[in-house]
Amino acid sequence: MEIDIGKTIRISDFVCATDGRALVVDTTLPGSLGATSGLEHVAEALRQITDIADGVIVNPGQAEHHADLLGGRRRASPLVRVDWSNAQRGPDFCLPASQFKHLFISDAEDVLALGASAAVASLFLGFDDDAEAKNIEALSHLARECYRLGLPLVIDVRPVGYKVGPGNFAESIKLGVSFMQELGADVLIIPECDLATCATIGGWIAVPVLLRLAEIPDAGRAEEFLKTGLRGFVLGEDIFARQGYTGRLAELADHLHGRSGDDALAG
Amino acid sequence: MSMQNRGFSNRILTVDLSTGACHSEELDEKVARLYLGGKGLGSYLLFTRMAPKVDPLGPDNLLIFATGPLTGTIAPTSSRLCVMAKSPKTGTYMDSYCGGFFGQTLKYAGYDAVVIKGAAKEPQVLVIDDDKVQLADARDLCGKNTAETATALQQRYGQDVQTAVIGPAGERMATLSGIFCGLRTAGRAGTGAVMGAKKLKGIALRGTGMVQVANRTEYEEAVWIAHRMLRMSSQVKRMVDFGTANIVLLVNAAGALPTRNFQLGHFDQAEALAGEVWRKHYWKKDIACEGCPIACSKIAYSPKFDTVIDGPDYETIFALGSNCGVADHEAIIYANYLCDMYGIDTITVGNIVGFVMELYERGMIGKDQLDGIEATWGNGDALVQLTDKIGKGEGVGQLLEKGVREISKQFPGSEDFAMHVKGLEMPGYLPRAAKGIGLSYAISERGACHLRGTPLVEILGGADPLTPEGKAALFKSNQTDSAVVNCLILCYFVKFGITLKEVWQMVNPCTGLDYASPRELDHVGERIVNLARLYNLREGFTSKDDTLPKRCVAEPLPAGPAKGQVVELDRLRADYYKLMGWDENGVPKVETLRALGIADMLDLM
Amino acid sequence: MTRSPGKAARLNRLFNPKDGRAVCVAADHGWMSDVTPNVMELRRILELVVRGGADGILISFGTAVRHGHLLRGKDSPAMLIRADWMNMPRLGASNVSNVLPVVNFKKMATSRARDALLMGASAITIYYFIGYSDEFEALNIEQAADFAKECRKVGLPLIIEPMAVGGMVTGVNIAEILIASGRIAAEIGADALKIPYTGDVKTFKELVDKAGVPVLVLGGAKSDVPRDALELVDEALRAGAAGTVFGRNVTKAKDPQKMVADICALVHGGKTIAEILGERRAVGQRLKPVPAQCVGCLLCEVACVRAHSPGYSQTRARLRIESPQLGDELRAFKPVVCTLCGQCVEACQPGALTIGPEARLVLNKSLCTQCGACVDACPFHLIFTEEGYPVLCDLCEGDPECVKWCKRGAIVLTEWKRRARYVHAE
Repeated sequence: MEIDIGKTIRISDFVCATDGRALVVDTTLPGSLGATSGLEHVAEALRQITDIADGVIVNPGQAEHHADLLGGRRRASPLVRVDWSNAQRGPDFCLPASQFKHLFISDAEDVLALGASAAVASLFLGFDDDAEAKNIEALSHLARECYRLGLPLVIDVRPVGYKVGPGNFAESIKLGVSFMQELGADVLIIPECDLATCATIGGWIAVPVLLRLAEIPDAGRAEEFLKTGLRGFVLGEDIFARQGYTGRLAELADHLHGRSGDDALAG
Repeated sequence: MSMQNRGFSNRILTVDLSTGACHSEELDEKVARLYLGGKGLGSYLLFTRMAPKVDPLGPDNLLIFATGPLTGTIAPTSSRLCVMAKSPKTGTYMDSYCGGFFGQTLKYAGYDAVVIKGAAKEPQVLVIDDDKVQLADARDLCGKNTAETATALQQRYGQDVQTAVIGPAGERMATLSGIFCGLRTAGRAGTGAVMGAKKLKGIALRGTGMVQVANRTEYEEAVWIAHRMLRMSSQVKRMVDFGTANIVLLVNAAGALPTRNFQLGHFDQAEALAGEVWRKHYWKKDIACEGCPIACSKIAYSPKFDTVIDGPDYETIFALGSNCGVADHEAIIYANYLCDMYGIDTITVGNIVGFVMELYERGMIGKDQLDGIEATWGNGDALVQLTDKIGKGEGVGQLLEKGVREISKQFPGSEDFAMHVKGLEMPGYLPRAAKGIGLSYAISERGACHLRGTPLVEILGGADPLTPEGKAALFKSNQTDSAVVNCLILCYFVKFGITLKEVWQMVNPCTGLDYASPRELDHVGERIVNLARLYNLREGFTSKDDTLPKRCVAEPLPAGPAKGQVVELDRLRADYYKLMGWDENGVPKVETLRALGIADMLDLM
Repeated sequence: MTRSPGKAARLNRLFNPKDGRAVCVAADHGWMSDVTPNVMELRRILELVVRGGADGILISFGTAVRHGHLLRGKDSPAMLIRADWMNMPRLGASNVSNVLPVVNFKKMATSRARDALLMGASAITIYYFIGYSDEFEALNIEQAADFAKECRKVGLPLIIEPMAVGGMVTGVNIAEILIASGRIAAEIGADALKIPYTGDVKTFKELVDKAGVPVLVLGGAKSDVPRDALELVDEALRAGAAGTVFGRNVTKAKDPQKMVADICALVHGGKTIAEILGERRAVGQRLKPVPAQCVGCLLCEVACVRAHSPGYSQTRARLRIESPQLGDELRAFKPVVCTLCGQCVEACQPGALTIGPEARLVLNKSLCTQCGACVDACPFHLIFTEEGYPVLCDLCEGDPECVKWCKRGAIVLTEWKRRARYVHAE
């Protein structure tokens, strides 16, 4: 795949240039829900993970406020989310969404100025046709901007609309990754799915595909997914709510990059 | 643990008018936790102690006067009284509220609720003097109007007694009669008729006791904040200045001011009926209920009729005013005065007169059938004359006092514009111009009502009134909210300055019941809404009764801001049932009741 | 926390670098609300606010053009520009003046950050309305994000003003919504918040904590009681707020300069409300009824009983409101209170009743013969007995509850004309 040198360098900020793998943590849910458990204090949370993860997805406001905690050698690079949605406002939220809304809160130039190593945006599938078409249009525009600026584009494929159910979930993911590879995404994120689906995607998609997980997997489980050709993981905001998540995250990072525990301690 | 000194008096009094016997019992903490007081406690008593399908005008109907844990304390608007019974007007569950000083005095007398059952043979007065409860002969009070009756009771039992009385309309069991407590009225759905059927002309009440709360320091901190928030609300300030009439123009601007029997939603003379005009020319003074920083009551004087009233409030202004096309202030004041004296509900009267005027204009009823009254739109004299006939129940009034539903039966073809739900006439917001309000009229447990969670916020700026989108949820949250407020009992209007959160902050230290969050307190409201639903189902009502007149659902509004609109009732109703956890027939599912902790109530179905 | 140099410098102008706090005044009402005196006399009020020592003033673009020069000088308030417009003051029940009512909620972005910057602004302020509809919130987010982007580019601080407004906002969720919306605003790019008080210290503390950016509390509608606004500021500060953006409670105040100075004393000066208002126990004062202010709510009676017993009641109050009888409603309410007229003292033969040095009725029970002469002597019939002894107004030890609770001012304190013969000899 031909990409320009800006993208090459910036992708390597969070996808390891040697092993091609990546461990990313997402902290952007509070952009829609307000502070979630464990993410009440962003700086504290970032301090916990910045030496472990390869990248951390942040909203633009936090990228600006906490630039001092991100980027640089052996620290997580900021991947800045450029979109916002109310898709995760379920019945537990104080103001459940009755109408799906998805919009863009930043752009390639803005996040580049924020020091981002990539722009992150979502492809929502399964909502109204209009919403889907608008989503594709906006992402295409973003992809062209990113190309022009040498900024990697990470696309979060999210088949969460009312049209998606257990019967078409896997197919929806495949559709999404296919579209997004054609669109020009540099890294893809897919939701948690069965190994067979992962294998299909891992064996076919050329760009790095990361699997989004709510829980930090142990080495065995992680290995199962990695064997399918996936290149790493995106861990959601839920992990911050768990006790001792930094230790487990560090273990996962070590496993992912083929380091032993001793190396990590030395390192 | 006893509820004594935790906001409650911990005593329910039962008076059997048939035998003259009375007894009192303690309040169960479990009942207090599940239902609090007021509407909740009343609903519980109504549901568990009344046999199904009793004659609302027979001795088996229960007339319940209830207070809440906040009643009589220092909380804002905490003076209110809840009156409950089976409605003789609709045959449904009925709750009605009034301000003034009766509620708090009942609490000071030491009662959370008084249940009146049976019926006396001759007119009686119930005299409650703290612990002393007795019945007295009231034959000499028969035929006296509400003010005369109240004054007579005060002369007889002391100037310091509070009174709850009925007028002549209540005595003859007219279903539009209410119970009058000083200047305030528990007006709608026929409370007065129930009292009249029991041959109870009035209650004289003295209460010299005290209400105590569980944690006074915390309670008063919360109360202090509530008072402050009310003072810091521009909407409250507006109520202080112009009473409920402050909304006349904004409702008109939304195209929701019922005009000419709900044909239109805007009235070309609305400007004349605005609060500012009443204030400038007719209102002489403000009056507040106990502890109320709002003082929505305005005392009006009509020089033409040399009459003083408490009012008119917004509902009266719409009913006797725009709904009849009338903009004659003094006619409205005088008609309001007549309603107060005969002891009847102004909303119902205004609906009846508006309906008659439409019949008249359509040529469906003639002057000869109306005792010579020319019932033309906007005719203030006709309004006064018809009100007088209705109040007296004389001449054409004998038919008219029965209400719009019964009148329409006499005039085939008029059902489509007989503006009632379940027999109760509509309050002052045009359903076609506010879809959630339309839904609430259809669903409300006592017929068309604006105080059972009607999302007035639609018109007050909280949502786009014309879309059905999200309106079931809006109604539901308003409904549970207002049910809680009606348990405590606070006034509907506190919501202009405080929310259920501040209410929750007061309820916990008051009762020591420690609801974990405002949401948990809200569940009390949801429980009560479901119990009221069960009551109506038990009485034989079905989802078919959750309906609106044809005018609302099939006659596109001809003009105004909501031109072309009808209420999409089927969709709204289906959305609502689903959200409530009811089946498609509007019957609460067992799991819904179980989650609310009242599945055992099904045993009484 | 890192910031661009432009933002850092401008925030330092707004937030006092010594304590990190700011007292701001919102004077942008003429841009959205009805034409009230505070709008028409804006220039005069702005001058007073500057003199009062505010740290920032929120004004519209046009006001900045016309009156921005008032903000010259190193110690003058920072200029905050309102960069958007909305119609809420004319929407539904918010339309307190019935001025050109609107039915649907609208909001527009009206200035660019660049315009404000060139005007000399230290920040811009924009709304974030949540709770009306998903559609409307999305519009708000989109506009806020747009401003955030531009502000980052030009180095201008962005103050977002989350407001929980709309039918879906209830007591069940209002605090949660405000807490969430504060954080959402910060995630999008707010450098500080202007936000309504949640109504209690606990939830506001949570809001401040989770927002992660400085929080300025707003005042809302004006109270007729100046103390109300100060109480709100005090509670917000206790919850960790970085200051205030008060509008109508300042601009509509009788003395805006004093109001600003009072808030500054609270925010920067570390003073208590009592110190600021000069509140002290009443000495040498008596109660005075103001019948014209009374609406008969009887809160004073309940407050009086409450002050002298464990509960609430209207019986055994040491004052009374005389309400008109039914049918005579035009007659005014009449508060009847102890005016320290001294007739009871004069009637007390054994000398058990005196007016003490602080001008309060004092009963020496050991001298009282329970003769009842004081009860008969009271021209207002306010004295009653309990267990034989007279019960009298004791002015609640100088902090009368009736005065405290009657915010209408129907019962007030006034100077008591000391008459030597009633004063207890020390």
